[in-house]
Parts: sequence; C-alpha cells; structure tokens
Amino acid sequence: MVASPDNAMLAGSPRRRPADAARRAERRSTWLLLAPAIAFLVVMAVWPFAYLLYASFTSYQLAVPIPIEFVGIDNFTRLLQGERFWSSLGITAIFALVAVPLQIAVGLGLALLINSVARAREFYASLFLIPMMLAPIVVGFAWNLFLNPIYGPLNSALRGMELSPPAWAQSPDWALPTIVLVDIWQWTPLVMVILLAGLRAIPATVFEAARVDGSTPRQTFRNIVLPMLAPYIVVAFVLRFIDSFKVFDVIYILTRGGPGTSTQNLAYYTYDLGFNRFEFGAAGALSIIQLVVLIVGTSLILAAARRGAGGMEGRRS
Amino acid sequence: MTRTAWGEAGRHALLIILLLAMLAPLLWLLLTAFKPYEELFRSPPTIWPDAPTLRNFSEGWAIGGGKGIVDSLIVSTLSTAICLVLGFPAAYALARRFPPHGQLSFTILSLRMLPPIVPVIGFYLLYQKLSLFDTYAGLILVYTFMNLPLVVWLLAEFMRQIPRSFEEAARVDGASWFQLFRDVLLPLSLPGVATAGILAMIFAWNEFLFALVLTGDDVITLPKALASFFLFQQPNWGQLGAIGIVAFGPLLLLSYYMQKLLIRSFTITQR
Repeated sequence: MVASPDNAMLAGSPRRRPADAARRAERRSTWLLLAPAIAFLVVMAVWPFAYLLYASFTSYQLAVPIPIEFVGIDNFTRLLQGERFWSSLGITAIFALVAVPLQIAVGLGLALLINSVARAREFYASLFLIPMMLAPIVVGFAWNLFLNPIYGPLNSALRGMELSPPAWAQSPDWALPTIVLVDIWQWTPLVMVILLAGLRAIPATVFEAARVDGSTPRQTFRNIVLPMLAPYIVVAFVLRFIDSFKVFDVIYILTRGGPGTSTQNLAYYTYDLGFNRFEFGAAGALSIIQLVVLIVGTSLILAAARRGAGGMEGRRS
Repeated sequence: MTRTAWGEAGRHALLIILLLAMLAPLLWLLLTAFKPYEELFRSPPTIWPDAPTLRNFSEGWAIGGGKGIVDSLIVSTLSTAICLVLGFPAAYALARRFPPHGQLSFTILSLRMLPPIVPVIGFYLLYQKLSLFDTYAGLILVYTFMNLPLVVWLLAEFMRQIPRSFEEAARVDGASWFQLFRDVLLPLSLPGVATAGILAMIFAWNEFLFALVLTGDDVITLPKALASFFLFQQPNWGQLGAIGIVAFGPLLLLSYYMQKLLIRSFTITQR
C-alpha cells in the first residue's frame, strides 16, 4: 500500500513507517466522524442521569419548600416496602409476560394465514400493520370512544343482543384486561411482520422435501416451520418485552391508572409520583429501580433463549 | 384443484373479516368525525351520521389542532434533520471501521431500548435548571436523543451494502471528506437516508410522554393537544376524530412501504 505524501508529513517523524502514519490518520478520522454523535448521546444520557441519581438520594420535593437533604437509600427502601410498588411491578409483569406471549400467538396465526394465501399478501400485511403505525394517543382515544359504556358502539351492539356488557376501562375488574387487549391490538402487527420475514426466509425446497416425504401439514408445522421460526420468535419476544416497559400513553388516556390503582404499571406510578405529587426523590429512585428490573429481565430472557436454542439443537441431532 | 381454490377463497374471506374487526374502532372514529355535536352522545349511537358535517374539521383546527400540527412539524422535522446530520458521518465510521455486530453497534442500539420514563425525571430537573422547559429547543434535543441511535444504526446497515470501490476512487481523485460525503456517499445511500428520516419523523410525531412532561403552554404538539381535551368530562369526539384523521391519517399511507421495509430489515438482521 502506498501512503499519500501528506499522511507521511502528518506523522511528523521521518523514522516512522508510512503505513503506520496512514493507519493513525485513519484512526483519527474515524473518531472525528463519530465524535459529534457520540458526544451528543453521552451528554444527553449522562447529564439528566446525574440529576436523576442526585434526586433519588435526596428528599427532592417541588411542592414542599424545605431544603433538599441527602437521605441515602431511604427513597429506595420506602418504595420497596410500599404495596403500590409491588402492585405496579405486577402490572408491568402482566404486560411483559401475559400480553407479549399472546401477541406472539396471535401474530404467528396471522402470519401463517397471510402466508397461506397465494395473492395479495403484501396488501393484507400493510393493512394489518395500521395499528402499530398510529400514535398510542390516537389508539387510546379510538378505543375510549369505541368501548364507552353509554354511547359506544360495542356495548350498544351487545345490549342489542340481550347481553349485559361490562363498563370495560371504567370497571375495576375489566380495566386491566381492556388495557392488555388494546396493547395486544396495537403490537401484534409488529410480531406478525417479524414472523412473516421468518416465513419468507424458509426456502420453498424445504416444504417440497417434506411433502415428498409424506409429512402432514401439522407435522410440517411442528417439525419444520416452528424450529426455523424460533430465532424470529425470540427477536419478537425480546423487542416486545423491552417495549412493554414503555406502556404509558394508552393507560393515560383510557384509565389514568384507575380505577384505584388497578391499571397502574411502573411507568405510570413513576409519572404519578413525579408529576402529580412532585416527589422527585421517590420518582427518581423508582426510575432507577425500573432500569435495573428491565436490564435483569432482558438478560434472563436472553439467557433462557440461548439455552433454549442449545437444547433444540441438542434434540435435533 | 377446486378444493384448493375454495380453501384460498375461504382464507381470503377470513382475512377480510379479521381486518374489518380489527379496524372497527378506527372506522368508528372516522365516522364520528362527521357527526355534529348533538349526535355524539346518543344511545344507541347512529352508525352513519344523520346530518353529516365538516364543522369538526374547521373547529378542530381552531381549538388546537392547527397549533398542534405546526408545533409537531417544527419539532419533528428539526430533530430529524439534526439526527441525519450527526448520524451520517457516524454511520459511515461505524459501517467502515467497526465489525457489523460489535460492541459499539450494540451499545448504540441499546440506548434506543431505554423506556422514556426512565430518563424523563432527570430531563425535567435539568430542563428547569437550564430554562429549556417548554421550549422547542428542549423538545428537539430530547427527540434527537431518542432517535439518533436508530438513525445511526439504520444508516450503517445501508452503507455496509455500498461497495468500497466508489469511495476509494473518490479518494484517489483527491476528494475531501465533505466532497466524498456529498457527491458519492449521500446519493448512494439516499434510500437509507429516506428510511431513517421517515422513521425518526414518525417516532417524533407520535411521541407523548416527553411532550407531556417537558412542555407547558407554549409548545403543544399534537399528541399533547389531543390528550388535553380529555380533561373535559365529555370530550367533543367529533373534533378529536377530525384532528386525528388529518394529523395521523397520512402516516397510514406509509404502511405499505413500512411493511416491506420491516420485513427486509428483520431478514437482514437474522443473517
């Protein structure tokens, strides 16, 4: 490789080999190209996080004009002893561990159905994608209107069939299932699209070989389609698991965490502590606890997925 | 032959029924946008508007939809532009000088996974100190932070598919970095830039939590404007529906393009 003369001059020392200088210049240009974006991300991540950490170890309250005191881990212990923390953790867990598997199941069914028709697959895929393209706020108020117990169309139709429908989001028993249903409605399309990509990646020859060998559709599904889709299912599960900690907008519009605290997940509890009660110390501590729960949960799922993949290969061989 | 044809027809019928059931709440909202106020709270409700009207659209614009659209446009276009300007050179470095699934890629992408509720308290306290609360600049900075990791990652994925020979030829001809970017890389990665830009726009356009917490009465983006109508006991659903259709309907036109893109991107990641 021939180094350009200006690179050799940049190196400064005549004893240094030209190739070294070229490599150094390249390394410098790499960091110059990365620097603006990295610097921006670091500043925007570290600076607010410093405030968050600071708040979480103090008695930071906007509403009360008392001096801010360092309280150590008091905010954390008080949260962990409170009932509301555990109930909101439970509701976040319902989104992550009940809603997400349901999304995978429905998304798989939908992907298989779309993949089984000969024509208009892309037409269907793009229409089924609509819920996830919409702002969660719009989704929230579309469902709020649709499920309104008095003038909403669903309950009026159900009453017409001599049924007595629940008050959905306004009923203590039905509020949480309603929010979970809306979450499934909005995010099943993402799972569907990921699994469609997986189905498309299976070569047609595999299916032909199975048919020639006399495999029934059910056997083909269990022994070929499902194992080949497994990595895609893992991707969908991990993405949706992480995103399930973000559920907030729909709760804000449909229930405001109520009735009582029956639909209050960790995100809504944090918002409520911070911006309804102005207890920034406690809200900061809860933010940090949430981050830890998310990281631990994601690592566990990734580890389980890796072990599952290993186990499946073991069985196949 | 006939049996499979019937099976095909049956599957289409099933898909269409499922589609209609799924879209029902949205179709209902669409119909509601054309109903006059008196018709909104009738029980049982009318399906087709008795006296269809376009008043909701003009009123919706006047009571906050117009400001919402302007503010959302300002915040989402500017944050997207900054994302692309910062992200383009970084993506080039990431694509050419680092391994595809290396530590740096992973770190950048994991920032994207952070739920907004985690940093929002910190941003609020910081913005109070820096007087960025309730400013366009404040919201633009947060949305840039939210979207930049994805933009860098997506652009890098696209640039990996551009053959190196193009840039090598340009460097031999003595092109500067700026010329290399403007004349060689930008035209070649234009589809990637469009994709990353559209996604960043959509995410900023739809975002609610940061807007709710970090702005007050001066900056009111669309999702925040819509949510504020819920403070009333009986929201005017017609106006809400009208704003929703005008402000978010156009996004749905992208869904054909989006499903192709998503399928492609997930097929790439797996390889």
